[in-house]
Parts: sequence; structure tokens; C-alpha cells
Amino acid sequence: MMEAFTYAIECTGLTKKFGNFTAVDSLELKVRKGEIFGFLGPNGAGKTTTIKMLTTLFSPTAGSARVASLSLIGDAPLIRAKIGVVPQEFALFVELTPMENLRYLGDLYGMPPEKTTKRSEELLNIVGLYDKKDVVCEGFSGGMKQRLSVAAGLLHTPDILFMDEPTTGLDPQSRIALRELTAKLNSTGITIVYTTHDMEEADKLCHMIAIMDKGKIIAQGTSEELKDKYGGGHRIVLKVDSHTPELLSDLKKLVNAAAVSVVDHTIDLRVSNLSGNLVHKLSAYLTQKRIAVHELNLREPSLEEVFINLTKKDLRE
Amino acid sequence: MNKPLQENGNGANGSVEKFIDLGKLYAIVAKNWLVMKRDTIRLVPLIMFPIIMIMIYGYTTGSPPRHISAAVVDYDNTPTSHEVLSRLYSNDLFSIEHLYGSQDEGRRSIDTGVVKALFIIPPNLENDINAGKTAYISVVVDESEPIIAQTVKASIQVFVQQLSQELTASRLALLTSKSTRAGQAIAQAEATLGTVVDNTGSADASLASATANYRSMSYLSAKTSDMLLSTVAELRNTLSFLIDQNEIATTSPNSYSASSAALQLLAVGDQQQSVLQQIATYGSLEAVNQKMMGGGTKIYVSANSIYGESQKDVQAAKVAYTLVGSAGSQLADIQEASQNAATNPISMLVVEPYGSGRHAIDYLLPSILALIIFQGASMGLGRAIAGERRDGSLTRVFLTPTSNTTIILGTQMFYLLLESVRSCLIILVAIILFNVTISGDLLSILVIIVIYALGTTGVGMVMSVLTRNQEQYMAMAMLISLPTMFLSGVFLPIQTMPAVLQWIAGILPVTYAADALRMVMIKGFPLSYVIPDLIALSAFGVVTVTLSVLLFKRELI
Repeated sequence: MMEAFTYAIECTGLTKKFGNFTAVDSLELKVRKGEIFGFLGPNGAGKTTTIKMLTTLFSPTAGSARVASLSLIGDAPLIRAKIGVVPQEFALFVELTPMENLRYLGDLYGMPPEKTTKRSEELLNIVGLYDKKDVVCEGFSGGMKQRLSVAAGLLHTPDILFMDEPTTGLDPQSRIALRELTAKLNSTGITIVYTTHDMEEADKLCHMIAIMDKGKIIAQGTSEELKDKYGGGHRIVLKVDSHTPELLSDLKKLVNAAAVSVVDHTIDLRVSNLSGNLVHKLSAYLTQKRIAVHELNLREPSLEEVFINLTKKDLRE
Repeated sequence: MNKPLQENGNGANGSVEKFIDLGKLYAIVAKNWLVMKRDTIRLVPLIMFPIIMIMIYGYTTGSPPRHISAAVVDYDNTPTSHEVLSRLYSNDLFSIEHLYGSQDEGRRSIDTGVVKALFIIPPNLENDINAGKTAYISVVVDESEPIIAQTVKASIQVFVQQLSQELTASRLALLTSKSTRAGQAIAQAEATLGTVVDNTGSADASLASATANYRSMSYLSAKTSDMLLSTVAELRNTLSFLIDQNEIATTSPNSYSASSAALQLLAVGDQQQSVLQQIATYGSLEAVNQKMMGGGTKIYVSANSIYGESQKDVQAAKVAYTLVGSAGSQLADIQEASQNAATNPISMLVVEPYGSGRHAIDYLLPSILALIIFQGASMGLGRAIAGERRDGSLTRVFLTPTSNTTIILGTQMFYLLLESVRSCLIILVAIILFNVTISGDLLSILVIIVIYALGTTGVGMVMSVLTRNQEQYMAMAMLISLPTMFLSGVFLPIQTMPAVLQWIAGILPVTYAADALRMVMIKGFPLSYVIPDLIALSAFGVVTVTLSVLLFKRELI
């Protein structure tokens, strides 16, 4: 019994086909309550289709899912009352003011008008649009629109908030602001399903990450788990004046590198970990050989590398 | 190896900007074609539109108006009125659908819009025409359909002219043949009269000579008879003298001797003999005379009877003469009549039953109203569903627990109200600016408008639900709304269109709305008169609303 309450979303064999094309292929997925669940994947991987199914916009071709403990098949209107969505597009009326937009949605959610007004003002305060609440949205910047969209998604106090690439197209400040807002919201207990292309964002924000490709989830775990498993190890990057094959083989032996690659004057050594006195040994050797080093970088594996290793999509698009 | 990128920048491959670059021009044309080709929802209307429009233009404006439904009331019921009727039946300007017994019946069919024109033939049509007067046929025109009314009025002028000419021609032909026949009769009568006169003359002459002959003959005969009778009398005297002498001779003794007496006796006897002979002769002469006289009398009598006969002929000739005289005067009449026939025997009186002093706008307003509501609703709903789908705001609505039916009905309700308000505005402006007279009550008008707007906004909703964006919507709306404009009967009369177009007009809601609005606004009828229209409009509304709900898909692929 407790199990049912721990998961905000459970998918079993969720499938969506468009004609002969299978956009989402027998998806198995569990999202725990209260977490920020990151959904990563290249374009066309099926992220948005999955989100549209989970938010009742698309009906699945096969399989089933429970969202907020309700069945996707049959309970769609009930699910809609429990979930909030921040869609990719603005999806509000630019001709209306934020308050008017929210009031309209409040009516469609069947909320009492006084409650809508109170909640709208609260939310507009949170997203920093309170002073613009009676200004027509037409001239709003991308960031303002996105923040209003978040407010709209939260209006009816949903249990789960779906955010479909909410930071796409925003300037860095707006991205950071929105990311902070998301974290703040999550701290109040709401489960958030977050799709993004921004690996850094996913790394920083999400408790759990699923990487999707060709309609399937190909990896799932925390950021650390994914990096350990698919990151391809740590890297030591040296920039030198010149190098010889001897030098390269010496270095490889010294740090026990799994692979060495060279581009012009940059040497890239891949190691499983940076434990012990690896850096000391390296600097001692370089000093001894009198090799001028312009740069020495120690790099952890990034989520981007995980992503590219998994999807091999760096040049696919 | 790949060539260095810079090589493409030397201008040899067309990267230098020319004023007009034909290659690039072609590329732009080809690209636009590709873009349009992919958008089937827009492409099909784009191609269909000109085809439909040219068909409508071709079928409607090319041909003269024909087959306007009409009815006739014939109060005259004479050969002439039947002739007028047959002309009306054979004329393809009108299609005579009813023959009513009374004006009231005819007027009712105008009121209900069954016929658009009513011909009333007056009771004295034939008399008037025969008298050389102009007979007036009344034409009641349903001016609530201004296009048809105009067409009817114009057509009637042509028709009457034709009818008059034809009637005049046939009348002239008839009169000419009559006068020819009269002339022939007169000539014949005159010829007969001539012979009769001749015959009478000769009869007179022969009677005269017969009379003269008879007179001289009877005179002679009388004279002869006198003479013969006196001679016979003389002879009888002589005979009796002789008989006396003979007596004396035989009875007297001292007379001469017996012998001489005997001699004397013999001599007297001889004389007696001769006298008797003469008497016999003259007697027979008289008999002959009498006989001759009898023949003369017979001749006279027959001459008299001949004369009597000839007198009869004269009498007959006299009658014939008077007949000829009257024939002559008749001929003169005929000639006069044929001169009269040259003036129009028939004229039309156009009767406009729904009020005098009305302006064209009064009659046009209902159709204009019906058309504007259709245009507004069909062109305006692109923003509703298709537009919201395009900008994503519909998605937001989908994310709320709101049913398709609520979304459709809610959206449509707004446009329904909008159209109703717009209609009131049109009526208001028409009243203020053009002093339009509206016969029916405003509530009835509003009821029609709301029911109608339900259907027209329904059409808009169906199109909005089927299309992905406003461009597609507009292409589809054009396909429906412009033909509607031409088939609505506002600019071109439906009645005179070819059957196919009439059939199409018959399924357009604008046709029923315009009809209902005309009945109420112009003719001032209550709603009960337009129930069939209201049923059609309601059915249309229900069908379109149901369709838009059924066709409304949350997922568009």
C-alpha cells in the first residue's frame, strides 16, 4: 500500500504510435513523489510525446500509466485537476492580462473566483509578476511569459508539475531565475517532471534523471550514478609546446590511462579516477623531463558526455 | 578531399548579387510551390475556388432570367383570355404553377412565397380588346424579393409587348380574312342583284307587251264578235222575213198563179237555205273568235303571274341590297377596328402588395442581414479554435478538466451573441440612416437571427475544428462563403438559376434565413408563417454543432 503512495507517476508499457512511427516504445518509468525528475533526450526521442500522454493531451496507443494514483485511461479529467503543466509554448492569451488569464483558467478548473484571485496574486508574487498583473501580456519578454506560464501551471495547486523545456529560448538570467523558482517550488513538496536540453541545468536541478532515445529510456539514475556509469571516466588535459611518442607512452603508463588522444599540442588522458597522488606523480614527472606545461586541467565527466556516450547523437542532428 | 570553403565565395557560382537573378527567381518560385503543395487543406480550396466561382458566374449572369414561378386568375374566361393564358404558359420567363379561381387565393400564394408573380385577367378583357380599348392585366409582384421583383417587372414589359404584338397580329389577320370574305360576299350579292334587275326588266317588258297584245286582241275580238253577232241577227231577220213570205205564198189564192207561187216558194226556199248557211258560218266564226279570246286571256294571266314572280325577285334584290349596304358598313367597321388594333390591346398594371413608398433598401435588408451574419460567422471563427490551436492556448484549455462539448459550445455561444449584436446593429443603422420600415416585430426577427446564427457559427466551428491554423481556415471559409454570397439571392435571383445551383442554394442556410426574414420584416407575418424555415435553420444548427463536437480532436497529427 505504501508503495502506491511513494510514486507520483508509474508507466507500464506506455506506447504511442503515429501511423507506422513509434514515438514512445513500451515505456517503463517511475517518478517518486516530491522529486524533480529530469527527462533528457535528443530531439525526437519521445520526451514531449511522453509528457503529452502523461498530461492527458495524447491518449496512449498501448500500455498504461498511473498519474497521481489515477489511471491515465478513464480518469483523464481527474488527473487534469491534479497536475499542472508549463508547456513549451506560451499557451496563454496575449490579449489578456496575467490576472485575466489566471481568472479564466481558474474558472476552467472550477475554482471559486475569490480563491482564484487570492491564489493568482500569491503566485504572481512568487514568479515576480505582481506589479504586471494588470498589464496586457502582448509586450512581455520570453522570461516573463514563461514565469506567468509557471504561475498558470500552479494555479490549482497541483500535486505534480510538468515543465516541458521551460528554459528553452530564455536568456541566462531568466534561466537561472526559473531554475531557482523550480527548486523553490519543489521544496514545498510538489513533484516536478522537467524536460530539458540543458545538461548543466538537469545536473544541478534534478534528483533523478532519465535519458530517452528512440522512444525508450536508455538510462536512469541520479546525476552521479549516470556520470560514474556512462561518463567514460575522468580526464587530465595538458597543453604543451611539443610532444613525442615516448612522452605519450610514459604519461599513459604513469597515470594508468585507459586512452590517450592528441589534438595539436593538447594531450587528453582518460583515467578511471583521480585518487591518490596521481597529480603529484604527474607534476614530478613533467618537472623532471623539463616539459613546459601551459595548462593542466583535471575534469570530472559531465552529464553531456554521458548523454553523448549514450545517444551518439552529437552529430546526428 | 573536400575543397576549402573559401572557393565558393569567389563569385563564380552565382554568389554575386545581381539585380535580377533568373536562377534564384526560379528557386524562389519552386520553393513557394513546394510550401503550398504540402498544405492540402489550403491547396484544395485554392484550386476549387476559381472553378466554383466561374461556374456560378457562368450559370447565373450569362443566361437571362427564366422560370419565375407565377400564378394566374382568369376572370374573363374567353377565347382571348385563354390565348393570353396559353402565351403565359408557353413563355419561359414565367413558369405558371397555379391557376386560381379568385384573387384572394392568388394573393395568399404571393404572401406565402409560393409564387413570385400573380397575373389577374379582368372580366371584360375580350370585350375591351374587341372594342379596340386597351385591356389591363394586373400583375401582383412579390417585391419582398427585390431581385425577382425587378426581374419580373422588366420581363413583364417584354412579355406584354410581345403579347400585344402577337394579339394585334392575329387580330389583324382575323379581321383581314373577315373583310376579304365580306368583300367577296358583297361582290357576289351585287352580281346576283344585277341579274335580278335584268330579269325584272325583261319581265316588265314582256308583261307590257303581253298586256298590249291582250288589249288589242280583246278589242278586235269584241269588235269581230259584235260584227258577227249583228250579221247573224240580220241574217235571222232575213230568214224570218223569208219564212213569212213563204207562208203568204202558200196561203193566198188570188195571187199570181200557183206556178209562180211555186216558183216563188222555191226561190224563197233557196234564200232561206243560203241565209241558214250564212248563219251557220258566222256562228262558227264567233266560236272561233271566242276561242281566240280565251287563249289571249290565258297568255295575259301567265304574263301577270310572271310579273308577280319578278316582283318577288325585286323584293329579294331589295333585301340583298340592304344586306350589301350593311356588309359595306361592317367592312368599314372592320377597317376601323384594324386601325384600332394597331394600338396596344393589352397592358400590364404592376401591383406591389407590400406597401407603397418603400425604398429598395427595405426589401434588401433581410437578404443583406442574412448574408452578413453568414459572412461574419463563417469568416470570423478562424481565431476561435484553429487560431487557439495554433498559438497553443487551446492546449492550456485541454489541460483543464473541461469537456470538448463545453469548449465548443462555449466558444460558439460567444460568436452567437456577437452575431446577434451585430445584426441588431445593422438593423439599427438601417433604421437611423435609411429610415427603413420594418413590418414584423423585433422579437420575431431576433428569434430567426439567433436560430440562424447557431447554424452559421456552427459552420465556422466545423471549419475551425478541422483546420490547424487561420490560413487554412480562411482558405476553407472562402470556398464556402463566396459562393454563398452569390447563391444567397441577394445579388442574383435564385429562381432563375440553373437547377444545380438552385439545389445548392436549397441547402444553404442563408436561403432559409433570407426567406424567413423577408416574411417577417417586409410582409409583417408572425413566426408561425415561417415555421418550415425555422425548422430547416434549427436542423442546420443542430447538425453543425453536433458535427463540430464530433470532429473536434484534441490530438491533431
